[in-house]
Amino acid sequence: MTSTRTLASSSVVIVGCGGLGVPAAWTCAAAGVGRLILCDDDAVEVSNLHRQVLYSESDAAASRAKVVALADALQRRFPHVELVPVARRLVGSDDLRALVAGADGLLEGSDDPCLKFAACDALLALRGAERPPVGVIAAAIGRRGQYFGQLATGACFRCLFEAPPPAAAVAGCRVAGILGPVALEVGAFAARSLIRLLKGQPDAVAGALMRLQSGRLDRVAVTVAADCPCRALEPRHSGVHPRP
Amino acid sequence: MAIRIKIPTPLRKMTAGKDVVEVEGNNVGDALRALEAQHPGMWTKIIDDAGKVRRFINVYAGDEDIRFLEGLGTPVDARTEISIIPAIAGGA
Repeated sequence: MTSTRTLASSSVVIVGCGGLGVPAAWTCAAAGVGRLILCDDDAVEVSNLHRQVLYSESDAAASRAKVVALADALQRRFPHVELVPVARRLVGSDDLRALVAGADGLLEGSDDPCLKFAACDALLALRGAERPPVGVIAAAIGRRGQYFGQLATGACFRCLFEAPPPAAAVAGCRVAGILGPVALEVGAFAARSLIRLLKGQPDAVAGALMRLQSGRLDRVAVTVAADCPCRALEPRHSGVHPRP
Repeated sequence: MAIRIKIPTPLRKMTAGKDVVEVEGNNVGDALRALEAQHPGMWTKIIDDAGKVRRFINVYAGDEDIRFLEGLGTPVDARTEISIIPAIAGGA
């Protein structure tokens, strides 16, 4: 964690520059994060504009890459921030780990459930680093959202959910819809929590799932599971529960 | 003895929109079977063919994940609120 350093010298990777990534990137830039690495392989579409509020009709008309359009919009408002657009689909935890290594934080807000687990695995792989990054893994659909905070110790995303849902069980935002303000709220809250973790401040999201549902935000504490890969990385195993 | 089960948003279409269903039972498995009796189809949404909670869903008894208690055999009483927590895949 970066408790002895300033946000201005911090670097954050944003995976997914859609409904969650846009407000998350704005929140990070406004808070003073010095370097943002923006990852997405999509182009701006008109259907994005109600919730991905930094994109414009002209971005959609030109089918601009989201990472480029977002970097431009943020640069105009926050000229001090270094913006690094990565206009490709990330594949697997090794790909993510290469991006996150050297960064201080990761915010995963893509529409790919497998990438959320890859983010978890990349953070786990970097727990042994001199400066292990912290991460927040976020999702939203319809009128609800959730985000989980993964630190350099303690429970990981795999302690909470063992595997991604099967493709047949996944209803993306194109099918299930998404209420714009919900995406904005979840993305901004997730980034706010990440910033607090970066600053070494206590935050409810540490090792917990925050759920926004029916307009309420609640917290579910997560315990390290006995057969989870993260357990081997724990300095102490007390308080670990066996998984049936 | 009525047990309260909190229904997550994506499953409420199976409970006529109810966010809480009250059932009878002495353990989590009994409570979920009672939920299935009231709202057919709920069991298979939560439990897989091997009889275990699906890997992308968590069931909590109060504040505790039942995986770390006694699984579906986790005892419950009228003070226990059961929560069903599915992973959300959407990135919006």
